[in-house]
Amino acid sequence: MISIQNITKQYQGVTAVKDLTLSIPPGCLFGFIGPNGAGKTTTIRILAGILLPDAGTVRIAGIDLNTRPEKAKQKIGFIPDRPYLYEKLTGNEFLKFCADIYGVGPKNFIATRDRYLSLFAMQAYADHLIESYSHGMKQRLVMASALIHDPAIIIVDEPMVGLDPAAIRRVKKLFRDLTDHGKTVFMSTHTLEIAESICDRVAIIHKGRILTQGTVAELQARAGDSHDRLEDLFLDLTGSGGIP
Amino acid sequence: MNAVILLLTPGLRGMKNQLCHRSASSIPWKLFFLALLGLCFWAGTFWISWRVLVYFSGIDEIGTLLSYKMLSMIITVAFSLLFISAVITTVSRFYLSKDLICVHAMPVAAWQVLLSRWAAAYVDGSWMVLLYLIPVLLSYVLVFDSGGLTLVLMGMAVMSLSVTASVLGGIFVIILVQVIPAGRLRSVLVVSGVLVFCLLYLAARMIRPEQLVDPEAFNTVLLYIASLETPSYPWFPGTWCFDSIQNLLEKNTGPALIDMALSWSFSLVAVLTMLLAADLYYKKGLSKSLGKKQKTVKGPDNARLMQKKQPSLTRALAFREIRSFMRDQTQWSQIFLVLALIIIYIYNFTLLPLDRSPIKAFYLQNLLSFLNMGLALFVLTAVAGRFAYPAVSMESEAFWIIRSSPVSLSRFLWIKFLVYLVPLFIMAQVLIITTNILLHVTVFMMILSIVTTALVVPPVIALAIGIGSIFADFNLESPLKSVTSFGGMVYMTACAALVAMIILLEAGPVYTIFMAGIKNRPLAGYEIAWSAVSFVLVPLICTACVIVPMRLGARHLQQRH
Repeated sequence: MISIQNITKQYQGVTAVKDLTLSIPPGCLFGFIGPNGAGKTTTIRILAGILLPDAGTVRIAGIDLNTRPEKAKQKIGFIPDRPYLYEKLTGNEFLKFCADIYGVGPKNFIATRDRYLSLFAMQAYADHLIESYSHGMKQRLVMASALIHDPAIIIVDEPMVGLDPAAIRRVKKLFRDLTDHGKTVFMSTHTLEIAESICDRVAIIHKGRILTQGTVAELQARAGDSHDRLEDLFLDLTGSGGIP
Repeated sequence: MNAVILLLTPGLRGMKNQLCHRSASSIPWKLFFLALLGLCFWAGTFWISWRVLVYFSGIDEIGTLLSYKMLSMIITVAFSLLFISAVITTVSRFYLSKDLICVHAMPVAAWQVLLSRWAAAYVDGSWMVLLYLIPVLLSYVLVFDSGGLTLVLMGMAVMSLSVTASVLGGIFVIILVQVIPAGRLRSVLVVSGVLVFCLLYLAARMIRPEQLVDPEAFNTVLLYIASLETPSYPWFPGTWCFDSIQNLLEKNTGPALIDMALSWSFSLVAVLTMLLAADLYYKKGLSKSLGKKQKTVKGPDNARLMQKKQPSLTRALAFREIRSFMRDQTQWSQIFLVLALIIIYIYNFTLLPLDRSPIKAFYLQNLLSFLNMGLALFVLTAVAGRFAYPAVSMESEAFWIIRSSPVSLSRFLWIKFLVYLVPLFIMAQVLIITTNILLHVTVFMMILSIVTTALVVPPVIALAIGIGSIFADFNLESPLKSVTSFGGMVYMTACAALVAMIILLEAGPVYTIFMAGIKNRPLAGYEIAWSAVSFVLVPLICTACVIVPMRLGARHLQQRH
């Protein structure tokens, strides 16, 4: 469903992502983990069509993101790590705007909007201006807006930041439900427990390169007996485990 | 006191880093360009005030009186500007800055935080007024021949005035925030400030100051001004400053120093009063301002939504742009200013003494119509600079929504172009048609003006959107100010070059056609060819100036990291 072939991205001479190749099948909840500055957000932004790679190709549901970006983006629901929104619109107006951008008809919009507003407990705030929302409320609204057009692929950067425990549980269940229904979720996260508990496959990125990838069980098997938790493996591979 | 200085260091270091960490190639040019522009304004202010003072000094009996009256007016206006500016900057610095929560969590006394905030607000709100008072005071020193030291002492008097205005502004804000939360207060102040400015601006224009240079009315007007022996208010800080400067100009240093001491002692007492007011009310006001107020805007219900057709992508983006624009109160203050500008512009044409001019009315009307076209297009450039140029930067950090959506950047920019084209096209045509009617121009000139304006409006908007995209800054706290940046100046220069080119291309052929009409002779072959080439070049240049900046803008946005 998502095919990344040898992508490389540099910022003023500094390589953020180097020769990265990944393939994610439909219905997979893919966890993308790595330490700070590893290249996660750059990869996510390339996948969302926000950044252009210096080299390599990205195919979304078979569509080349570089040559047919609008067509490919139609298939994606993107949830960024920081929910900057149009502060002068209400939550409802923002959802309607997103629906119009993605070509969702009025009937579908009403049904989907009501479903996600209810799921994220946002009905009471839907007619309030976004400028009055808390960080968590904005994050929930972004999630609702990313799902409003029923995308085949959800790309999500640090989804749990700023959410309360109830919302985290809801989001985890939502992502599982989506993948059970054939959607693909590409999720970057720092929270290894979340990756461990809900992801079908995991890749660890460090200094712009993929160190390892596979199911959690596969990774643990590959690493040997001493690594019974994903955290141990992650710290070992990225060389950040030494606590003074 | 150390804590106060320490709290100011992040701002100072930030400024230093911004200057030092930019790439070595870009910054000197920008600095040079900005410094040159500032110097031009500075020199212009000096030249105008010097010329006026020399003119006044040549008038028997009332010359000195007029100079002092002008000084008194300048000080009163400066004090008002400093006060208004202080009110607006202190609202932001005291209650709305992003770093406030962090600063208040530090183990520093509240009065120290406030004093550091006030110092920053003082610099923000006063530097420009003080900078432009220097050439005015310098011209007084030169015309009154009162010596170089006088300028230094005058500077101290003006500094005291600015400190007083800033502190009074701070106290006013601390008290007002008890009633109105700071977020709303800033909008209320900006809108009401602009409204008052517009009314004063209109009133000042309606009293027809041009009578001062009308030989027939000159004596009556001057005698009237001289007869205005309004008593100065002894409790007004501006009076102490004025008295001090007047004494310095008349070389009465002793009384001048007494006035200055009075002024400075008041400034210091005002600072202490502000700290006392802050001790009593600041934290209360801050707590009120940090709390968010829910604003509800009810949209259409489900039944109505179902009946509506799904809007096109263009309409969806245009609606979002217009809705965000209309809900932003800071935009409204700008609209009031533009309206005042348009009214004054048209009013000026009703006062033109066309019938009393020694030049033939026919020539003059058409000459003025040409000048009018240039002026109206310059007004359009300024208005587009205020509204259309920041349009892309206004997306701010929410730009990711557009970047990740299935909309091409080119289409996104063209929609912005259309949103601003319609109102600005109407505005430009209203200006041109109304003023041409007032000038009683010929039908040919009327059609030429309308067509030229119609051709130039799209490239001006395209330059604003395109250059605004190239220099877009999504991290600005106030994107509206982006037109004063380097990119804004590039835009203004490009528009000025475009307007000048179009006017120059049209002026020659139009003059030839007129002269041929007056002399009742047919146009020569080369004249026809020249006119044809000029009139063909105009739409070609305009079209190129629409397409090129829009493409460059989209390409730059695409390549941004």
